[in-house]
Amino acid sequence: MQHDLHIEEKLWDWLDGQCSDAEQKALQQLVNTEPAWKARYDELQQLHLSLQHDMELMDPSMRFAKNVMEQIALRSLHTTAKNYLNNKIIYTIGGLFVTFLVGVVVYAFAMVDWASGNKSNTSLPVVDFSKLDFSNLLSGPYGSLGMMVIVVLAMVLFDKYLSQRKNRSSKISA
Amino acid sequence: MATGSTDMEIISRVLKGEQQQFSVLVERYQSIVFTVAFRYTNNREDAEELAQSAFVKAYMSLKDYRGDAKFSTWLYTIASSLSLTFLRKKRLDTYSLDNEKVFQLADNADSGMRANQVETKSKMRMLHDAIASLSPDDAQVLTLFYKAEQSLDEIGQIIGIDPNTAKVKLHRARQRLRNVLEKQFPAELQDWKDR
Repeated sequence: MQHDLHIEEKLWDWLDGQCSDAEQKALQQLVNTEPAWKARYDELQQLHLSLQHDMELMDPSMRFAKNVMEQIALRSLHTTAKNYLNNKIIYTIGGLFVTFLVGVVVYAFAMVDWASGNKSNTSLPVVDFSKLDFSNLLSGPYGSLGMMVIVVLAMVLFDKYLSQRKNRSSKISA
Repeated sequence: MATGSTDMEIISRVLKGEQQQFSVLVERYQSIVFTVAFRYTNNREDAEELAQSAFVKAYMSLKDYRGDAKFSTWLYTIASSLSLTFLRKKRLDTYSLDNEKVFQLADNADSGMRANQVETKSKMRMLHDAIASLSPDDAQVLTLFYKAEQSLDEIGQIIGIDPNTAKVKLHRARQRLRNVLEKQFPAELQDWKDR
């Protein structure tokens, strides 16, 4: 058994071109004179040739190269945008926005006459919905404020979506 | 397109900004990268996703490729490591020769189709089936050596082992392939020997 393995190993070395000239000659001699070596050599050579010529490579789908190039283009765009948009600028704009909102809230609270307490004569307005003019709702200051909130929310959601996609693709390439 | 150019020429063009030139490399190596990935996944969709990721990763790291090894060796290293990570995550059932299940499967397949199909089964199909029943490691070593024209040194580099271990792995892979062929396709094997 051990002898068989030794023969096989030597013959594979020969077939793989891993032998020196002297070793090759010695092996050639053995194959020519020893029937056991000859039989094993023929067997291994058949397998070797078959692996060289009959082993098939598999082809991916027809769109494979296109898909790869599309992914590369998308990644390149993402990288460019990342370089283009400086995080400091984004944080500064965000900071200004939050400061503005805090200022508005503080100002609103400052305008309230806290001393009046329950003595106020003011009462909640009664709204007659049939007389409401909805056409002015979007064009007025409230409308603009509402639109701004919607845009900010949309941007936050879009950012979340993009970072989820990025995480998914980096998981695959990790 | 620079289909006749060497890998290094194409890489230098890509690095100069001709992004589309990379598609030449994709077309040149897609079959082998896909086959290597398939050896691990046994599933076309997963293999395609892995192969795509390997090319995208290669493109993104192209600046780091110093040209010490062949581009193909470098690319197969990426594909191989992605496939291994995938395999670890998915914990696929691998068909190892150490596993008695393989022989059982072979026996089942044998008894069902021996009567009339075996004779007409082509050598290519037979070899494909036999390689598919090897472990991913064995199948990968055989693919890299015989189809990707990688030397034992390069195979060692791809798998992360020294060349001598790669040589032993190749010997064992061929030995196991012979065992599978003898077990699953004894008639065809006899036919080979008789020719």
